[in-house]
Amino acid sequence: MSTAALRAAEAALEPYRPGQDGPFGPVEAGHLLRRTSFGGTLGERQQIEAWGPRRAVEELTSFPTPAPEYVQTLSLLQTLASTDSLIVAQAIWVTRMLLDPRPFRERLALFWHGHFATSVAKVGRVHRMVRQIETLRELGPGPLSELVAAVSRDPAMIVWLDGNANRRHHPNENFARELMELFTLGEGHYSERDVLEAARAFTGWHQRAGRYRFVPGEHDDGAKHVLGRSGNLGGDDVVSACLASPACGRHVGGRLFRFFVHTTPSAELLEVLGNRYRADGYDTLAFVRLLLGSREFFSARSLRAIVKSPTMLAVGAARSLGLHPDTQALAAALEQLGQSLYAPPSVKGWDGHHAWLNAATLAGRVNLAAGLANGFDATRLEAAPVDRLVDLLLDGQLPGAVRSKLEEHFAATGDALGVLRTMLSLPEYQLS
Amino acid sequence: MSAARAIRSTPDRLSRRLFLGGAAALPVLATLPAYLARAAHRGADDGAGRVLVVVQLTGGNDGLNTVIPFQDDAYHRARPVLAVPAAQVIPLAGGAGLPPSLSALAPLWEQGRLAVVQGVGPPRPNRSHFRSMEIWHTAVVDDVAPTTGWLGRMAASVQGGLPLVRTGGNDLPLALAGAPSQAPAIVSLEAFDLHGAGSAPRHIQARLLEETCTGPEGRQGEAARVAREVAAAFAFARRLQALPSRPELDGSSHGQLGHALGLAAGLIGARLGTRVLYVTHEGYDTHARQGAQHARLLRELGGALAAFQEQLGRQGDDGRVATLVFSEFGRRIHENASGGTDHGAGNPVFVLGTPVRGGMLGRSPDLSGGETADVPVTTDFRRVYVSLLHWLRIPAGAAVPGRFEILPLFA
Repeated sequence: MSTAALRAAEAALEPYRPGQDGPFGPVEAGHLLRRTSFGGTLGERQQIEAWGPRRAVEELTSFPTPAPEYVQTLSLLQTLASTDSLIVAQAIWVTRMLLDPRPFRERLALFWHGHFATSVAKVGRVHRMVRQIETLRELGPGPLSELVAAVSRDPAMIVWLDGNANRRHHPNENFARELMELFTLGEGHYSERDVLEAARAFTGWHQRAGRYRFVPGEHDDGAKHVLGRSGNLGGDDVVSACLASPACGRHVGGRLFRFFVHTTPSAELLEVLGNRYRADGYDTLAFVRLLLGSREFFSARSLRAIVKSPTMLAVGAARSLGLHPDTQALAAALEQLGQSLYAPPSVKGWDGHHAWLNAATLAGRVNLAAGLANGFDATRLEAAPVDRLVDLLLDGQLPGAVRSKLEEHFAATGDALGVLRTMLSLPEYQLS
Repeated sequence: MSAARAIRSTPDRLSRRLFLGGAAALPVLATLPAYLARAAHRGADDGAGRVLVVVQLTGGNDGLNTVIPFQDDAYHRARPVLAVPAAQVIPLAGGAGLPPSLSALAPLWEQGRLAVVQGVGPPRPNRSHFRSMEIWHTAVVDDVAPTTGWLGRMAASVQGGLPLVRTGGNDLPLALAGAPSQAPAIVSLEAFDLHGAGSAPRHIQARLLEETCTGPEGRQGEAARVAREVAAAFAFARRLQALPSRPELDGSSHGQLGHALGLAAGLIGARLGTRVLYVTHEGYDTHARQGAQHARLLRELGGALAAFQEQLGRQGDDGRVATLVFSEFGRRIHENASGGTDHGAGNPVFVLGTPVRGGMLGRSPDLSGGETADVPVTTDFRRVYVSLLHWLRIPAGAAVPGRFEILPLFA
């Protein structure tokens, strides 16, 4: 890594200054709105433009006291929270994404869900998965150490990675391996011996009837050596050792970057942001705010650069258009598009970006567009629908040739819903 | 907005009904822009092309309980709980046999249509699921992680490309990455019926979608890339719609794998020109309480493969289809104390089908290591790949870098 490249990376993470580094208009405001909040109305975007990037990032990623109406919504949903129906639980989560005035909380929860990817397919009890996501939602913005400590004790995670089979004289390595390989360090930054010893440190970390229970009789309290540390190490010591490694900053920071900024960070950028995240005590909220306010975030590398996940596509469209879809049907549609909430395909989560797109899921997205459009009140689009929809859905940006075809169609047929459906199907609209 | 409204169905709701096929589907386009027409006609199939079906067992299949060295005492000593008793094993050859859960494959063995290659894997086995699977998918063993797969590169090396399809799941395995056009992932054929919205006549809607969503139109970068993928998607949907009748599907018993292979057989029979079909069977990562789960998986696997062969036979396609069954690694010789097994190395691979020369290949597993020992890798997995490519009559160079000797898998 050259000094010049590292300095360029530092510069890329510096705060974006409107006027000096570039404009802060509808395109930039819409970008920030999408990446933090799935998508939003014209009014919300205009407010962001007025705030400027610094204040907007702060506002969009803060968690103000919820309005009484939303509190009411949540308590009503709470009565359904002990459901054992997956589709109902998924529908509740989608409802929260649609209604939360600060959906950044849900965006971040969705990120952590893909990171500590646990599936109801093996966990079995839906409400245990719901509680895991509640933990991710609550501790997600905070220090990574607290989040990982909580996840290590999460009953759903213990079932998922065979925690109860990890016993004193017969350690089971599943959790220890994924903790290092996927959750903290990434491959190549630990040895097979580290995995085996770390497994011993987590022996006895069991769950009984959906509650974490440390079973002292099953815990191996002998001397262990993990990542250069020695002693009678327990699970928390292992987590601490993982987080002490620079690899953790790069690995987890890199994943946050790929989710919120773009999918091709340079090695230098990963080095710089990894160090920043670690030096900052792995304060996730502060780190994400740094990313969202940076020059890199508003650069051409990041604008319309990530294929929207099915959730981003559907929730973003519904929030922008003010739709009130049947959230059970919407959750089922998300599964068809490859993203079943509470049920990622493996512990690696969802690959995302172009992995979302193949012939079947693209046909599915076109059909989702039809379903959403059919739920829209066409009378709201009386005058100049093409211009207004391009402004609302694409921040005003669409190749002239495509815009002309949409204008011609509307002029010939007066079919505003058809225009809306087509716009939601456009390649540009699949990108965030 | 009131909470009650949010969770109660409203008249303007997005209904599941909208996702069913039938009358709402958009029609085939009568005339196509040139680049779409090319995409639609590429890979027209005269029914003579050889087809490879790849069945991936995800999670690391326990090979020692799949092709059982039942005459080796070390096997029974290493697995006091999990070993299949010798009396229950269905003998194949060379002291190895199948467990009762794979009895559905016994007839194929007798007919000389099942080849088993033992001890297969990469030269430096890796115990990470993802790294191992990556090695099998990319046929590259160096540390650099490529972004293209062996089948994707194979498709790209053929003039005009080669159609690949994944059935039974929504995701596209890395093995297929790098193909000139993104392979479709098909769970059901109904997904390809496009639904209408708005007041314009159906053919007008269809044309508007094609004209705005598929062409270059001055697009660049990511938008252009997505537009190309939409074009391929519409081309595939159109080819499905143009079939005189929907492919006949069978194999709805034998679980999710049976359904996926049934769909594969239907697509082969539909003569769409697909040359490689990729299917996965999940759940093989049996770290704990393996006995019942592994038996259940193998019963589903054996049943689905046998039903698949039968369906191909009824269609008259069995003479040109070969099926590979593999997993990303085997599991350790010794069972663990949770009644399961941990990640291992060398593993058997199946190649089945009428064109196959049945028999036992490769070396019997050496079970002499200590408690954390693995079955050694004695046949490089890339030899299996080049043997299949040779049979497909496709030069192996682009798909599998390096030189590897072909195995006598085909008659």
